[in-house]
Amino acid sequence: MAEQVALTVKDLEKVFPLRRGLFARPQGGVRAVDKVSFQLKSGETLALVGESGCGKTTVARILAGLEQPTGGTVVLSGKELDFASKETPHILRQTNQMVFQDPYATLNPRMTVGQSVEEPLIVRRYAGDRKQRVRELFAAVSLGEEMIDRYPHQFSGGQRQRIGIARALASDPKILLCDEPTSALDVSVQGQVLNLLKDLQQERGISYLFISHNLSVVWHISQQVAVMYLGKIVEIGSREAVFLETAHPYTKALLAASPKVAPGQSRERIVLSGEVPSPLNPPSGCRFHTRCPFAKDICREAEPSLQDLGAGHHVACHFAGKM
Amino acid sequence: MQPLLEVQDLEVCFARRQVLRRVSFSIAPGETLGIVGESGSGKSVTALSIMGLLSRPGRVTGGRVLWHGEDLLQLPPDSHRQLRGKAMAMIFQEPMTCLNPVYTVEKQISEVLMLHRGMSKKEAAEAAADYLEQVGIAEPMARLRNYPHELSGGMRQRVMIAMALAGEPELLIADEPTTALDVTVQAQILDLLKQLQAKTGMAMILITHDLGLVAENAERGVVMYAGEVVEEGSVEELFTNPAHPYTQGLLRSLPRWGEQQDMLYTIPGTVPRRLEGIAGCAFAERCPLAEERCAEPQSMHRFSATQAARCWRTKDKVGDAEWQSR
Ligand SMILES: Nc1ncnc2c1ncn2[C@@H]1O[C@H](COP(=O)(O)OP(=O)(O)OP(=O)(O)O)[C@@H](O)[C@H]1O
Ligand code: SF4
Ligand SMILES: [Mg+2]
Repeated sequence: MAEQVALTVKDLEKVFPLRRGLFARPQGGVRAVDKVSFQLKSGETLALVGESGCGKTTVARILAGLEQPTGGTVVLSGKELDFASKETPHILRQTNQMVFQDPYATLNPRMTVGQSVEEPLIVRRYAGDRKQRVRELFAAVSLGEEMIDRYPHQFSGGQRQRIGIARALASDPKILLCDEPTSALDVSVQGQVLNLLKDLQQERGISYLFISHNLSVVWHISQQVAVMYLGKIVEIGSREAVFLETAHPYTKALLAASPKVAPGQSRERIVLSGEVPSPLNPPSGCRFHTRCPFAKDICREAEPSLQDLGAGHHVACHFAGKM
Repeated sequence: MQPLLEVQDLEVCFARRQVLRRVSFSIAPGETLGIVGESGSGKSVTALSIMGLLSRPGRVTGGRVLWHGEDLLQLPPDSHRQLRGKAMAMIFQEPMTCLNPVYTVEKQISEVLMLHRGMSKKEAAEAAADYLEQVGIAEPMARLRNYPHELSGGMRQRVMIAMALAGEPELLIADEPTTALDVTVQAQILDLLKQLQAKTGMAMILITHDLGLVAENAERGVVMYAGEVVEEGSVEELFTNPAHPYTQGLLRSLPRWGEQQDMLYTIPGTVPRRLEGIAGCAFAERCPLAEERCAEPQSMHRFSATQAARCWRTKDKVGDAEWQSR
């Protein structure tokens, strides 16, 4: 049997309307997510990478039922979702749960962390013994039972992230949408959270959509990688394809810019010039052309489509494989 | 050669809580020194103490900060203030901590030039455009008229760097200068700092929690843990042959792309919340090598001209002949 697919996203689109003034009619919009397609296999991790404002979080928020897409389709466990239906956000929240960068912002400071983890169980009318389930969830994220009755401020950043994960697991999700889950953590704590996520995936077969700008973390946790730039996927494929047979100049620049702990090792250094353009007014043709060291006339004029380089490796660049 | 700056046994308390102890390091003219450590390890407090910017209830309770051999901590506050901006300048993670939202870019850079370089208003206005150009800002004349909020994050960072450079400092302290920026912009800013450094010969202290940034941009590094310096060395020594169990643990716990790692190494436990009551090694309760002797105060054991670690066990690692107690 073919590998099971947990989620298929096709041509997903989100345009945020722009209003100048409170009562003005929308004037155009920001295309935050533009024809994004990918497939997430069961029990695997797909990473979304890219710089701030490229649309990664919007993709996750749509899949968490927190945001309505303006186009495209989502197939969840074999069923296409109808975004016109009121039921859809509910279905999404049942299968997909978000893990945020700053768990502190999502935990109620006046509730014990045990109550915060129990809350989703109450919401979904969990039939079993709720207290027992909370104890199991705390054990699953390696937190002792004695922690259950404490308040969020009594925990370290890494422990709070474990609580955030326990709360997400309380809904028995098939997919975790992790938005920069370790970015606020110190290196020594980051490792603990990454190991926990790997363990949970092996034990429960959960799939992860993992958003991060840290490429070493992405390499460590994912099987598939999608690179986004100004709302579009510019390169997608297995982590080996994207990291080791990199085809898009933007991916190359990202890899070159991410610091490595190997002193004295000289490496290809592509330093981009210019600032990230505003998504309000994306450049013509290839959106990357204003910063691309290889840009030619055609890049300013025509938008490159995603080409298949084989084995699921796709890249949107006029000169892919010719550089 | 006399070091440009030498910090000796610096101690800082916030009210009654000790947050720095036994912090010592030095930096030579033109050198880049990285200070790495996890959140709360005392990197910023160290920098602020050097700059004379520590604010209450923070207070230096011991040690010396020698600038060209002269102890800054003994200077009257006014004289210390005069060194700031001119002899040494600091840039921050969040540029708005030193940019004034109600003044134009021109006014802010000109002020530094008039104050520290004795320029006239007209000279300063011209030089300000020069500095913006040097930090890679396109259309400098137009940008001079902007207010900080009209600029992108990367541009504000560049303006702050231009302001710091305008005083022609001998030492630039950069405290997490790129942490809030996207990685490709981070690379641009660091390249810019290196270029400017090559041109002006200034020394730089690069403070970061990112070990990779130190490996790539500094010649030497200092590792801080819980308010202490636990290791110093050249970047080669630190990253290929770390001596302190904490540095070793940190490096082992990093994911590295291109390598096969199933599970990551993790350092058990957490950083101690307070130093009081810990007479010995602050890392002892998390250290896999800890023994009884670790409860005694640890001194820096030196085993090369550049490398030293605050751990008696490093002696075993390198053999008797090569180490001597400082
Ligand atoms: N204004 C203050 N009042 C009280 N304590 C402070 C203050 N500023 C810093 N501290 C304490 O001093 C210690 C060192 O803090 P410092 O800001 O130097 O850490 P850091 O290494 O710069 O961390 P980060 O990586 O988070 O910037 C911490 O325990 C911190 O809580
Ligand atoms: S002094 Fe002891 S506890 Fe501290 S790092 Fe060395 S071996 Fe470990
Ligand atoms: Mg700091």
